[in-house]
Amino acid sequence: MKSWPLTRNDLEPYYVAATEFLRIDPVILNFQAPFTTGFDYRPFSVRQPIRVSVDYAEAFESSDSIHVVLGVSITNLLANEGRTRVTGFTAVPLSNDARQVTLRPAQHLVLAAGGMGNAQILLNSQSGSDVAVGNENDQVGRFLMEHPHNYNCGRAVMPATFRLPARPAKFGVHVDAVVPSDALFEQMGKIDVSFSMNEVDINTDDNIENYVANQLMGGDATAFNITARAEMPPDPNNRVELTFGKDPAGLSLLKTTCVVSADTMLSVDDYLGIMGQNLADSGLGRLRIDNDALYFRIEGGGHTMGTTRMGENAHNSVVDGNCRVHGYDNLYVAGSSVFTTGGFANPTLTIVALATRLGDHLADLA
Amino acid sequence: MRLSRRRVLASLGGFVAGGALATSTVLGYRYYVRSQRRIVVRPPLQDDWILTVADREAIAAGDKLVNSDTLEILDNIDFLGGGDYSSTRVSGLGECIEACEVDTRCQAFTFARSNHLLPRKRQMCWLKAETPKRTVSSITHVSGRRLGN
Repeated sequence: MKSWPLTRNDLEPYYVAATEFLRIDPVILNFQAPFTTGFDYRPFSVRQPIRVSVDYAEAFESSDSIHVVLGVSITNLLANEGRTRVTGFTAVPLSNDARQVTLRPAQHLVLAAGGMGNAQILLNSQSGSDVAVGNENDQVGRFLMEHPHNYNCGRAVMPATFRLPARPAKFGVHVDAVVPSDALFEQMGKIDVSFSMNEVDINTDDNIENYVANQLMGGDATAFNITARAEMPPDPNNRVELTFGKDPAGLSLLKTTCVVSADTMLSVDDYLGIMGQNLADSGLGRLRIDNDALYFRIEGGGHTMGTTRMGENAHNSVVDGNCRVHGYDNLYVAGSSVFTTGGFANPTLTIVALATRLGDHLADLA
Repeated sequence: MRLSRRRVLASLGGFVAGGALATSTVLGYRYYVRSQRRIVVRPPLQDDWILTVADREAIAAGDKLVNSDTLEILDNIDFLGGGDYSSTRVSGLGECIEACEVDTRCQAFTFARSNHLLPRKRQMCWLKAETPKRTVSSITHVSGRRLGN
């Protein structure tokens, strides 16, 4: 987690708490096993999502400190003259009778409207000036990151007797995946990536796959389609900005600039090349890179991150290590928008871990 | 008023010139529009197998010429047509020759080497029920026919 203002150790207890909240076994947090030189087997959990409004309905109903209001949009944060506190916000219910809500002196406001929504609300909050709340250094909306997916960008042929490492019994529903080892990642000094592996039949229409399966492996082989899920390096020019038009609540719409750079594609290519070479050298199998899929068929993962990124320096970040907006005593942000870097993993677990940590921080302030 | 021959000719000339101008404008605009709509077809990038030296030597070994007692082997020749009754991917030329030798239906064959431009044709073996009359020179093919055909 280099470049973040906190470490994995800072978050470790909150990852455990997040697994409890999401009702998955904490064994998923750290399980990995060797795959081949430079790569570890690290499957990812794909448990059915919990529905907070259903799975935690009783907790909401019985709590004196939680008051849930549905069908309301927050469109505008109001700040004091010195831009040190948020004093209130505009709430727009479905009936569109907007009302101003004033914060009490001891209250904090936590924005948790998602990777796009957090930036959208802040950028819409002019609070009587040309500068949006939290955007005093023009950082809100910048450093937008996604998880570029390259489906079936690789193919591995292995002996039919090959088995991926066994998982702990409590791991649950998962996707098989391999990732660069820590040592390889440090050596490459590049972005991170995971390669999921889906077992399929041998394709004898490919003369080389035919050679590998029949001549090299004696006709007893299996194949895996490989899909890359990569990290995008944080780039301030990838961003969301306000544009013309408003949504039904009156929030200005966003336009998005999100360019997947050559760094990402070349990193995936390099990692696949290293994996392929190691598989061949070890005799474990052979690998093919589908260059067309790698360079021309990129899809998004639906994980928008980084638009109110965390950092120590207010000139290249929006929130500090406690998710507090720089310069504001009582304004916080929760969600994937605070991610400093994107990694390759689905962001939900880290979102919940950071939110849990923020909850502890706010409780300490009380 | 009576029109003079000069005026009639001038009018006709005007119509012709105007029509030519209009026609050339329309044609020019159509050409421009069509040129903007031209679709550029990008060939797919080559796949990239990561193989050992031994792998590549084994695959290339399958392209080397092999003799036959019952077939005339024609290097760098592609037989066109000839009643293909079988198309199979093989490990090399030797396997293709053997397949034709042992099959009494087979009068000729064509084998595509591992460096054929089209990946789906590499190391393919076509067995033919008759010897085709049409041939074409091709460094990525080897063909053969029954001796005496």
